[in-house]
Amino acid sequence: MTTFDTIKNIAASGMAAQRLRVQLAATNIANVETTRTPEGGPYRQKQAVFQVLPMDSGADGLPVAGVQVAAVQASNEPFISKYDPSHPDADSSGLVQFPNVNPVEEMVNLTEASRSFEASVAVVRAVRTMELSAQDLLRVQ
Amino acid sequence: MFDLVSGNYMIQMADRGMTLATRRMGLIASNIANIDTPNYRAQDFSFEEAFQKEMTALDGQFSPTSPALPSYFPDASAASKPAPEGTAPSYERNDLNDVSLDQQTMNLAKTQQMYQLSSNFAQLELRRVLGAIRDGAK
Repeated sequence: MTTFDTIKNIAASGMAAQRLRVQLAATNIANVETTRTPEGGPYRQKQAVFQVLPMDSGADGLPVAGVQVAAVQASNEPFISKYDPSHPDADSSGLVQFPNVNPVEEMVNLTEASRSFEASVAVVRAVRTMELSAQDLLRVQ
Repeated sequence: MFDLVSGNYMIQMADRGMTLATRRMGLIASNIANIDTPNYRAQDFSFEEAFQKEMTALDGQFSPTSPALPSYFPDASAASKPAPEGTAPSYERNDLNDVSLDQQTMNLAKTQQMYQLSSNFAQLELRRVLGAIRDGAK
């Protein structure tokens, strides 16, 4: 039986996934110039990988599913090297390896994530209206 | 014995409508949550068809009068045409995901309307039943 609770949990899983995506976009943008990381080397762009999270639908047999984050992957794209001999992390030829973050890509990601988040919020809003109209059945006077 | 509430055709109809709307809502919520999941395919069912099926089952249970002939409704044949199963991919993306946000938002609004319509019907009928009980007590 698909209940309102199930639907809310699905919407919540979508919101949590999109929030993590925004978080990663913020991390990537903030670290666009970071040349030192605990793992060594410049910062690597990070990206969330989503996968389907099947929810219990009980007797219905409907394929209702939420979303979960399967992994946070660090990009293996080549670093961007810039010529800056005065930089403390410059190599012998004066090149500095900067993170493989593309700010334009991150901005697009950010917009997309916030749109998808809003869609899940719309689901919650719709379910709330439905619940209220079901509760109205109690007010039969 | 005729039960005013659980044996009431109108209330049963509204109940089925609300249940179907909730189920469809579950699928729409799944589609929206998985809008960025690679390889995900949008899930949906035709509300009209499912509702008609439920109504046919209900008619068999407790129809006080025989149903009208299909020929009575000029457009009955056109209305019962089966809707295409599943959702047609409105655009193809590189991640093999065919969820369209516009379509899902539209379905969300439609399903919500359908739920409220059913629940308003149920409320109306409950009011009528209550009115009948009150009048009888006078």
